[in-house]
Amino acid sequence: MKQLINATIAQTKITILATFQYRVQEGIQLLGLLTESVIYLVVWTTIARASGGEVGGYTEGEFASYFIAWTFVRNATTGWSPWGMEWRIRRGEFNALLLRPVHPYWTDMGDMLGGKAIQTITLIPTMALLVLAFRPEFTLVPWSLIALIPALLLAFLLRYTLMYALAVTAFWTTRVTALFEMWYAVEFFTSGRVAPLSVLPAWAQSIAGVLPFQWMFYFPLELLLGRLTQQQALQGFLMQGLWLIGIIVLMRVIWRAAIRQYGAVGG
Amino acid sequence: MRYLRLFGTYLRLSMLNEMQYRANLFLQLFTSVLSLGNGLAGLALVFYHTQSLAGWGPTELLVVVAVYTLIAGWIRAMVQPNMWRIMEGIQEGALDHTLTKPEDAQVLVSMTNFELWKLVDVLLGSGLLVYSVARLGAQIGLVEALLFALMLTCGGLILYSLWLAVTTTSFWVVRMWAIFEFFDRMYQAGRYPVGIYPSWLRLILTFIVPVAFAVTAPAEALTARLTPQTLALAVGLTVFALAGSRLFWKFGLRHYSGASA
Repeated sequence: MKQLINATIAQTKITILATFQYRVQEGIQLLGLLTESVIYLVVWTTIARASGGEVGGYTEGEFASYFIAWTFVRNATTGWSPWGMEWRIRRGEFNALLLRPVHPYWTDMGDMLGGKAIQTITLIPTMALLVLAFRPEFTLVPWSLIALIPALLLAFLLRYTLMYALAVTAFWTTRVTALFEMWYAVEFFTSGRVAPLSVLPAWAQSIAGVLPFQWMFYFPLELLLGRLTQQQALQGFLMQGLWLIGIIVLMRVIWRAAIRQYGAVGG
Repeated sequence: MRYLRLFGTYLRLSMLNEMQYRANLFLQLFTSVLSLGNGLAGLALVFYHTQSLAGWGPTELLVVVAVYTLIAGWIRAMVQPNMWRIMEGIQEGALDHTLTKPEDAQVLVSMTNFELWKLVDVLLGSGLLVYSVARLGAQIGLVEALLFALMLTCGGLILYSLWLAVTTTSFWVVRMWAIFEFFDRMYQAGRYPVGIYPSWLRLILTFIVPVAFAVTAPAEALTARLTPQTLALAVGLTVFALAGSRLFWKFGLRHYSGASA
């Protein structure tokens, strides 16, 4: 385990150094993140204003804080692209990775964490600008912010592991794209990405309740905003833990079968 | 005229190429329908809570989504693949070969590579456009139709110029996929009429990265919102964008020293 963590940290450092060389790209990625959140922010504050100041328990200012915090949580919990995996398998680059003594799951994670470390540094001043531009309403709850740290970590692990498990299906079909398009469509609405879950119609909320996506995004986001009671927070951690166990089992099953199936492409 | 013939030749080549991968058409259809469905569901969510968004009703926003989808399809099928080819060419040296050809380099690089299956979005967008305009019950006479066509052409040309300008930066900055992601993300802003954004953002989305403007102007022409000022602005911006991007491309070329041996 210690070795695995060391390998992950080593890859994190490599990526931090590599990322520094491509500052332009970092800026572009940040801009992309901002665009998406600002669109939703504008749409939902407009709706709140038009319907008497409040929608689904969020006021205009609270929508603003939701979508500003959104950038932070999204940056921390996402980023790994399944297309990268498909591409690696098709080009045969995966062969070399499989020969290494460390499971690519860990080095890929290090790669992501390195990228995130840098992105967070640039994101925080940008969030300050958003606060100036959109005047959000928020209160910082100290215990909630401390709880945010493990919640973000678990959310990241959940999403990363589930994505990895699905990406590994690229061993059978070199067209995982369709699968992921469907995943994104569902995640889009049930994770809190397009709007807080409380603004969805009741039937959609109950679908979101039985899916894992809100524990990868909405839960840490609500913690950051201090909108949860301590009991709700504990329940959230429990759900994150349960889903993580389930997803790890899924990942191991798929991986075992996939390795047996794997036909190397290229040299 | 000669360019038109060249265009026809390259189009035929792309078509022959795409016909080899017919299964991709279904994949594209699946992706397009899913993504349009997603957009419509998002719109449904908005109108679940309100009757109008910054003065645009549900059916009118449907027109915006239709134009958005239509233009996106055109860009992804006809513009983006060419720009990808340019960036790749700069990195790997294939551009040098193109530059030696006896035609205008900008014209050549802009029409050699198409991904025709992506035109599915143009079809879907047009279908939705016809449906939403019919539901709107608006009087679309010859004038409105012509104005719409003009605005749509302006929007397409503005976006092409923006793409060319962004691609030209790869003479200096290499690592290209980020640029594609950037453009896709920025273009998302066009899902909603530019008028909903706060004024500072509206200025950016009209003058600096005119993505939202390019989508809103044609939609305005169909929903009886187009003012003479917007019309003049659209034409002016188009001329400026075409000229500016061409100058920038020429400037980039002068700085380019070639990558092949």
